[in-house]
Amino acid sequence: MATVINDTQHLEVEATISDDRWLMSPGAFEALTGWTLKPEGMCREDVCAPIYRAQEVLSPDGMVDLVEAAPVIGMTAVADLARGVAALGASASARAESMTTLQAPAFTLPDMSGNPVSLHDFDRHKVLLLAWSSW
Amino acid sequence: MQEELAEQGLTIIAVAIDSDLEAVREWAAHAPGLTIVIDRDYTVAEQYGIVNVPATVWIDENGRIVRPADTAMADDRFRAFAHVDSSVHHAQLRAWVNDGVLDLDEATVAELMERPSPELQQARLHRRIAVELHDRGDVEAAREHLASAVELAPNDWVIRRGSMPMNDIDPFGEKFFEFVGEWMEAGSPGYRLATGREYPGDRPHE
Repeated sequence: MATVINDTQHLEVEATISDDRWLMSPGAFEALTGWTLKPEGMCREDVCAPIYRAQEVLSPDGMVDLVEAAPVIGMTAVADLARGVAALGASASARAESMTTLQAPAFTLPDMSGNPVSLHDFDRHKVLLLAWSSW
Repeated sequence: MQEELAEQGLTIIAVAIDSDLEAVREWAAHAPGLTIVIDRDYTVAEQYGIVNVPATVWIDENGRIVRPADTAMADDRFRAFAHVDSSVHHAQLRAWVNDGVLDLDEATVAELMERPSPELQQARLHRRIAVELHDRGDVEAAREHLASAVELAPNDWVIRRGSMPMNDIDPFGEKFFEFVGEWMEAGSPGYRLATGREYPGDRPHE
């Protein structure tokens, strides 16, 4: 088992780390990202993104390379192969695109007692996000 | 001010861009009654383009961002250092909450959103890995990833200064001032709105 950190959680996933690659079965990749490997490319709902560099994105036995496949679906991944921890987030262009819509991104984060608080809890309110830190 | 604006229907969510829960707890004790959430992986910082703290983002009743991330001081404690007059922001906030007055149109807000570079996105992912490894007790491995993050995004305050505690570096110490110097050399990126900034064109820390 290995750990993938995405925008919302830390997930235990099935991954094979070999030949300097973080490989996942198409099923595990789909469970993680929502994208399905099909002959026409990586597909979600009625959108398919073609895979131009199949040798990098897929291993000879059909496993998906997380770091190479991420850009195909508008994401970026960084993997620490030695420690079995990877992080998966939006690509710079996908993030920039979502920012310019000015739709406030939904989030759910724990409060001081560990209870989840969502931006949606305050729908129909004016909200001031106040970012701060101890550093 | 918080109570006054709450009466007018404003909800304040304080987002701690911080992976150190104990440190957050100590700070939170000074603000009883405030809704505080903890963004250990800096995902809200990323989604809203927050490049430094303290900063505010305004979201209207329809879930639209009407004012982008901007330095905002609760008071003038840091005025001599940051050269920000907090009363300007406070006046704007009151005008929005009480009368719905906004001084930035949508196009300007969109333009001012801090779009990340590919390097900054990579840096943010390295930082997430660092937090996970630090939690596991692998401090050395965590520091490797923090170093990669800083190398990729040397001028992002949240990445650079925010990783100092995990590196046992004093975030108010020598390394911090070294960073501020480099950041200014680079043209003070990420501070385009700078509400209440005194002496336009002036640089903080001079």
